[in-house]
Amino acid sequence: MTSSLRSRFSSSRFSSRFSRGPRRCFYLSGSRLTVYQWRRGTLTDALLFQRSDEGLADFATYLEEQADVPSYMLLDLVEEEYRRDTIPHVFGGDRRNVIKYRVERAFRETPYWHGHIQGREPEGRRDDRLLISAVTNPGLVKPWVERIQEHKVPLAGIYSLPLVSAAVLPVMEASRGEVLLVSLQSTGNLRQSFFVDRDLKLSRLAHMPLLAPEGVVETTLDEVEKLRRYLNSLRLLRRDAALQVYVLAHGPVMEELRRQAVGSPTTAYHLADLADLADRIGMSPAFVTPYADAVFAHLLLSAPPANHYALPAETRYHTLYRARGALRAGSVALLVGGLVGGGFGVTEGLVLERRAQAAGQQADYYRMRYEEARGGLPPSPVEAADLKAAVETADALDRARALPLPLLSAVSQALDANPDLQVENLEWRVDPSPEAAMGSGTGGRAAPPPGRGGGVGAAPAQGLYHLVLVNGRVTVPEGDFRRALETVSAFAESLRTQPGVREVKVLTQPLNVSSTESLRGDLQTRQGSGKQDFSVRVVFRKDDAAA
Amino acid sequence: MRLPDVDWSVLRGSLILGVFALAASVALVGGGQWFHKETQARFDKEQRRFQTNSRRYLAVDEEERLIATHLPSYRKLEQSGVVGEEQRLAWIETLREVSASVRLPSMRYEIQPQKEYQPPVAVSTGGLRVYASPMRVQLGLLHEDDLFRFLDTLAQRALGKFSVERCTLRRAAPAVQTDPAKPNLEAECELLWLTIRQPGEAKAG
Repeated sequence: MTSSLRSRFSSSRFSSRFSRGPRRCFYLSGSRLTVYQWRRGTLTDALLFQRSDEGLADFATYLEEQADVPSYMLLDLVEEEYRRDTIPHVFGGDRRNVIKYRVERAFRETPYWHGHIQGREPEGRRDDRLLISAVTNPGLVKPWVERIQEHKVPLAGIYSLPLVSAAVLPVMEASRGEVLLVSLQSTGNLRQSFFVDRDLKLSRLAHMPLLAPEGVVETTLDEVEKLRRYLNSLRLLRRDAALQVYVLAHGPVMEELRRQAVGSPTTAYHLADLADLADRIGMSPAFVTPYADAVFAHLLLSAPPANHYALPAETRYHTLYRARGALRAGSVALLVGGLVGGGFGVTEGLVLERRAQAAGQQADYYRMRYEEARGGLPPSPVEAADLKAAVETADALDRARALPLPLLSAVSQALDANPDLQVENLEWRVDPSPEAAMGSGTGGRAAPPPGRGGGVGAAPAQGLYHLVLVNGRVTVPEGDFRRALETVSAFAESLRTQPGVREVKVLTQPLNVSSTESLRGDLQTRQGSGKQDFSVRVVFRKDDAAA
Repeated sequence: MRLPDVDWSVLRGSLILGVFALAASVALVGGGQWFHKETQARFDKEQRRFQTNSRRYLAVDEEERLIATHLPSYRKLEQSGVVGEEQRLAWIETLREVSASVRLPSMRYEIQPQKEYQPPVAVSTGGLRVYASPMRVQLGLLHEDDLFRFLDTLAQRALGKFSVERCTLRRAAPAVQTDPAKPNLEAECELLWLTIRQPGEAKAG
């Protein structure tokens, strides 16, 4: 049956140093497993399960009730061995392969092993120092792990207590030199772990018979002395060096230690009361006992290191648990982002809504005022501004209006002054360019005048030119080319005197006397005769005529 | 961890939550943006209305002056057919009257569909537009003065305004004839018949 060691304690009594979520430590010590529960940065409760069918069933029931808590298994077993070795200084996959080879050679039967590189040799080819630890009897661990897996508990890792206990050394300012950490465990055993510069070299769990405090201390000091001599024999400790022994104890055992552990040239004792230590690491004083189990559980849960022994399949629910946590955090972030983004839009929208209402009220106010003022005005078919625009546009169209009358009148007057001329055909048109091509029919225009028809083009600022092409025949006695030329010249000259005429150009003379052209004929026929005896092009501008 | 090792029962709830959160987030942001856009459009509309109304109210004195100054001229333009719908029937009747008045031996005309027209001089038409209907007339003339009289009379009598774009005049017979039914000259002119009106005011037929 499950029994609670500290169930009377409530987590609310303890101040919280961390805002971390709940977690727990499965402290496995041979025949029993203690569950230390953790909430808000400190231990809150402990449960004890025996390694029996009933105990395992209780454990399964407990896990069924509380499966969804990240868990860390801490092993405090006699059946844990350590080997120190050296391997070539290689990296990555090569290092893993070398370590695996050494482990398989040393511990063939267990899946629970851990290789830890502890710096390099100072001499030779400077190989890496390797500490291999392994659980030699995995059967002690398997039953618990199987139930953990069955209930999909997020197991983060399985840890070696001696390796985890290194975390207490800095708290006691014992990180340097040769240090022996001694602690009494709740199983009644004495844990001795030897460190050099905080690197674990070996650990030993010695059986401690049930004795009075005086007997416990005597046995402890004997075990320390035996281990010191063993370290000397292994050359892990120089014979002239004093072994720094840090003993974790509390209560009558500590008082007895203070009397008996006086030290010697080869051994220096440093006594650490577990109550003081608990205070320094932030552990609840409710968990202070003569045994150091809770301290190591607290150290593990407060700063969990990387997994030591657990297989990937055994930690897969922890991976899934973290993935699920990330998904939930992402979902919350998405929702918060959506709320912020949407809220921003809605807030801005509400502000705009109020401003729109205010603008609408002002618009209505001015509309009413305008209609009141407008009531006294005569009705207008269009906006007042458009009345003006219509009148001005009509005036502009009048100014721009093109009629052939002025220019054709000028041509007519010039023809009246020269009765020998007879017009065959005449073409008139308006164009923004005075150089626009002219010809018979509608195909003679070079380009349609901009602004005329179709609603395209910009209005030319300088107005339009009126162009006339006169094709005609001059009637003179046959062969009197001189008179014919004079008549056409007189016609052109007459045109030039008309108001608004800008240019008069004789395009075709009755006879081409230019030196650059060939000239042929005979006395019986008219020289240079053709369908058009002459043609004259006239450029006129209405503005000039008005001036 | 390989995909087959994933226990989806652990992740199912979180995945559903993630999908819901994504959809809700998109809906929230989209809804917020939509609301913001709608209210922005409404605000812009009300702001424009406010600016227009306040401007009109402040300009009511100027409006009164414009009406007093230009309404009579505008009414005259309406009556003369310059402003408003084009009067095609009246044009045709006027063409026939002028032709008869000048006693032209022949006259043919062709009026094309009306189009918007850009005046050749810079002028602000405000909310109104100028439209033009291209027209081609072919005239049989006894004398070239008949063309002048035709255009001059048309300008005096026609509703609306027109502008002549092009005219050609050619001899129809080698010798001058005295028969009033047979033309001595042929003239062909292209005109633009212009009207001023509000956009989209034209009526079919």
